[in-house]
Amino acid sequence: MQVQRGKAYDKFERLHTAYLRDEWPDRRPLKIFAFDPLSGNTAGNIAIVDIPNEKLGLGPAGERIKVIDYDGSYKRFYAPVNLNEGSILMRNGLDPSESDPRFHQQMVYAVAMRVLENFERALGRSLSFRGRELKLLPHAFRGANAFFDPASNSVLFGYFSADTANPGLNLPGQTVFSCLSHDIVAHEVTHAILYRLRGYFNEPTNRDVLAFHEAFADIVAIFQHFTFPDVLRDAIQKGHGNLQSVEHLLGLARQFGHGTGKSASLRSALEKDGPQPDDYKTVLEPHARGSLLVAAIFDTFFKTYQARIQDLVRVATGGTGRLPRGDLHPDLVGMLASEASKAAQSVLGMCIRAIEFLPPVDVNFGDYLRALVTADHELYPEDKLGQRAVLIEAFRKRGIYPEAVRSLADESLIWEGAEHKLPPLKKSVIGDLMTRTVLGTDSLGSDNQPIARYLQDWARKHAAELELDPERTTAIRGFHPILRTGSNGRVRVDIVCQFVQERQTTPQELAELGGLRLRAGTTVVFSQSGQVRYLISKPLADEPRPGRHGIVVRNVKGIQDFIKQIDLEDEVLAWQDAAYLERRMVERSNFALLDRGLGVSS
Amino acid sequence: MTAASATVRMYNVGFGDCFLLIIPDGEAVRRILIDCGTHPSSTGPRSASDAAKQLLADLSEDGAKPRIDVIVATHRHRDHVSGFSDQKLWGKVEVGEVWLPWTEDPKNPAAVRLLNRMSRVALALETARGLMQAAPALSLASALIDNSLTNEKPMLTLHEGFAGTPRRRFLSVGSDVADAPLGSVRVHVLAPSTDEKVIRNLEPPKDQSWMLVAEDDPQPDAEPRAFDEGWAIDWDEFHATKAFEHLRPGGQIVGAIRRVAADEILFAAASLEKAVNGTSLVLAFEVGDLVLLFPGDAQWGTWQTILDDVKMRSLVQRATFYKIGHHGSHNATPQSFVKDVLAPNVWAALPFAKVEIWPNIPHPDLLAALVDKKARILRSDEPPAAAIPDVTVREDISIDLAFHANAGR
Repeated sequence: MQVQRGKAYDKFERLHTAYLRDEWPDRRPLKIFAFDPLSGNTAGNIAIVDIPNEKLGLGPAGERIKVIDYDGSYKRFYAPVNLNEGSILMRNGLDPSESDPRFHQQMVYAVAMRVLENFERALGRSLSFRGRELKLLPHAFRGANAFFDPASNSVLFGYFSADTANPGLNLPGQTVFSCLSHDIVAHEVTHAILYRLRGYFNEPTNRDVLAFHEAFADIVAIFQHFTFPDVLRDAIQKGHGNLQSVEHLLGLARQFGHGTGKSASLRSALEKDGPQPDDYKTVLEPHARGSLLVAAIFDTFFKTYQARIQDLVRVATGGTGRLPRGDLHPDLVGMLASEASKAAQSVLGMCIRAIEFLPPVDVNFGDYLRALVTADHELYPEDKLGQRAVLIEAFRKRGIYPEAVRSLADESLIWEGAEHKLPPLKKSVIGDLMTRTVLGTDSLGSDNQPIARYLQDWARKHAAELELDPERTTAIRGFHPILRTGSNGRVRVDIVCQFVQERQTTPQELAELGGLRLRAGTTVVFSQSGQVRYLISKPLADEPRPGRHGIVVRNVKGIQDFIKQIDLEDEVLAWQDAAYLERRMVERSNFALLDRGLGVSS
Repeated sequence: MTAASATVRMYNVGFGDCFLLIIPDGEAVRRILIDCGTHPSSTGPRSASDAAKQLLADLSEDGAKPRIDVIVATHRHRDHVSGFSDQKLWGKVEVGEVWLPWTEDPKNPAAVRLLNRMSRVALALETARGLMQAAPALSLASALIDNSLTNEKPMLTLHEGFAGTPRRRFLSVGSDVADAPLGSVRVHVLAPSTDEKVIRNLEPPKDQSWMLVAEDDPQPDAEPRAFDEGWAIDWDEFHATKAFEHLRPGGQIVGAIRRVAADEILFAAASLEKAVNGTSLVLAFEVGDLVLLFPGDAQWGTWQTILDDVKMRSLVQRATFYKIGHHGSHNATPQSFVKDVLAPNVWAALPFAKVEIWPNIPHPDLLAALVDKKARILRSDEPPAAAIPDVTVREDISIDLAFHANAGR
């Protein structure tokens, strides 16, 4: 009998095509290094991460993240990977390999997607880069650095030879790829996302601004270690339940640190000598200063974790609470790991959500503490686990206090604003915002000028309460809802809007300020009925004047003095030309120079 | 303390240092030369090689055999030593002793290691610069790299040259030089330190810490290569491929890589510059009631050590003459030193010629602070036009400042 293409085959093909088209799974598993190639033997270092599946082109190139493998040092490209190829899909992505650039491309894509997802989960909304993809260049140049370039919205990773004299755990002269360090990828992508959420947080108007960028990027990178189950279980077994004693879990970028001759991780979530009350006054370099904030956050995490596992440990030890010597029971390890993972998610989520409660400009660590307390209070008004109290104590121990608050009690730290009883936003504006959110269109798109004008009008009318200048133009930087589940189980919506004003400067003034723009701004948080709940203001005055309770009024002279101080510390300044002088504050916030050697050289 | 006489002669070498101290001591006259060099980027009518010839002529006046009791080279930057290149010329000068910082001691392993690292970094920077096209930051870096390159010829003169087989001394803070042929002139060595921590600060930047970006033909043997050749696709081939259209980097990214690479080289060059400056000898010459302070190009770290030390602080407090460090750059003379330590009415010498690319040298705030302190500033580029007592200007060749034994200061 002659075999021919028949009805049965047509049916098969129809079903098969439909399957290929519609029934892709929601998640795509991909292999990465949970740390870096150096940690080859550490348990869980080769991890399979689950990321949201999307249509992927060569690169990989997705909707928001695109990997471009261009090497600027040699002006050439490396062949892009096709992650949809059968042989790659079947094995959960390419196997880890230092010598195959396609694995590098896969890893930066996967880690970036994981970071993005962490943000979306915590913020309860989808994030985009305002219509521009974030471009990742895993081998952009030869050099011990990696940085985010805001102008091109790209992250550029370098590669270099490990120190020949002091290679640490690397082979002397071995090529070290910064793109194969999970932590470096997560750190840089976090810079990009934070820049997207708060575009003025790279304008260094005080000591903390750049340090905050660095700290936040480190916090997200290190917390991601806790999302790898095998890593966590191994750490709990090794640390005998105590996570603080496991170096690689809490260190940042181990191979990179060793490769540049440091004989240790680049940075760590733990302080070498414990917290010092005058650290906040004396530690000034942005990465080191940022480490204070990182340490305060992880201090909070460890205490939260300890509180969460107390009952488990008591059950496991017949009530003594003292774990016996020797290995822990695997079931107990699993339960502790699950608690550690939950505590990590909870603290990381709080850190990310707090971004919504920050002023649009001139952030400092004290503002972040208030934002953290406010964000956490929104979710857990009662603080049953005591997480908030622990957090406040961790900041206090490092000498970090918000200015202009009466005490470190919850009610003093939570932002204020409702007491002004400002008239609510129009219902139609809220309706429009919600519709656009559901449809995924930009709430402030060019087709939506009336909304922007309405918000500007609203700000002008209430300029006094918003600590803005009624005479100046107000720009609307972001207008979006945040969703959370209230204690009664219902979904609650809040609306966050950022109002920003720029004080005009003459070219002469601007040159003296090193190109730094003078901005004031207020973040307003509205309830779903449009009532003002919080006013988070950063006013700027010409002359010093007191602010209303809880608000510090900055003045131009203060910023000028700050710039003078920074000038004194700048060792390159003497050798720079006039063009640099006029842009020096802008150049100093350049992530490339800031992350130079990722802070190793400083 | 007895009132003493001395003359400080500042030779005009453009952007660089060259000072001759002439100190009558009983029947004898002590001559001390501190540095002789011009920066490769210096403008101005004169340079260190002019000064070297002039110096020889000045010392040979009255047919005397030229002699210098002590030659000091504060550190190995060109703007302090380039004038010593002509070994033959300097062979005519009889020299009693040559003083160099301890980091120049060929028998000290720590010094050799440090110097090797510094020259390696300077050479690596030169290679990096060679790979790239002109970028503004690169021309700034070039000027610094040139200043730090090995400077073999002048260093050879300093280590082996001069008539009279001078003794070489390699000094560090606290070195005893009481047996030097300087009669009643007392010399205090305030820096460089040999402290571990301070030396660590002298480490040049690591040569893998900056980006290397080739503009044209990448060096075929350059290391490291990221991957085997098989993975590479060249620029034109990639751009001719339709399937890769969405992966083109675009001008913004290519430009960002290039710009940052140039900036990083500048930063590395500035760090190297700072490291070499950190090896500077800082000397105070005490003659009767005079204290002549020569800090070389010492920068902030060195100053901090000096000001934190009670003895050294009280010595610099008594300075009657101060050679402004590092041509007046903002972090080579701490403003707190000028405001809180330096005595009023001090003489301050600024050996200098304006270099267009460095508008910030000398730093206006520093000059203003000195003026506030009523310091009497002598600039080699703008010698005083009107007659000032005790100051003798010889055209654009040199400026003499005389301290007299009997006149009140």
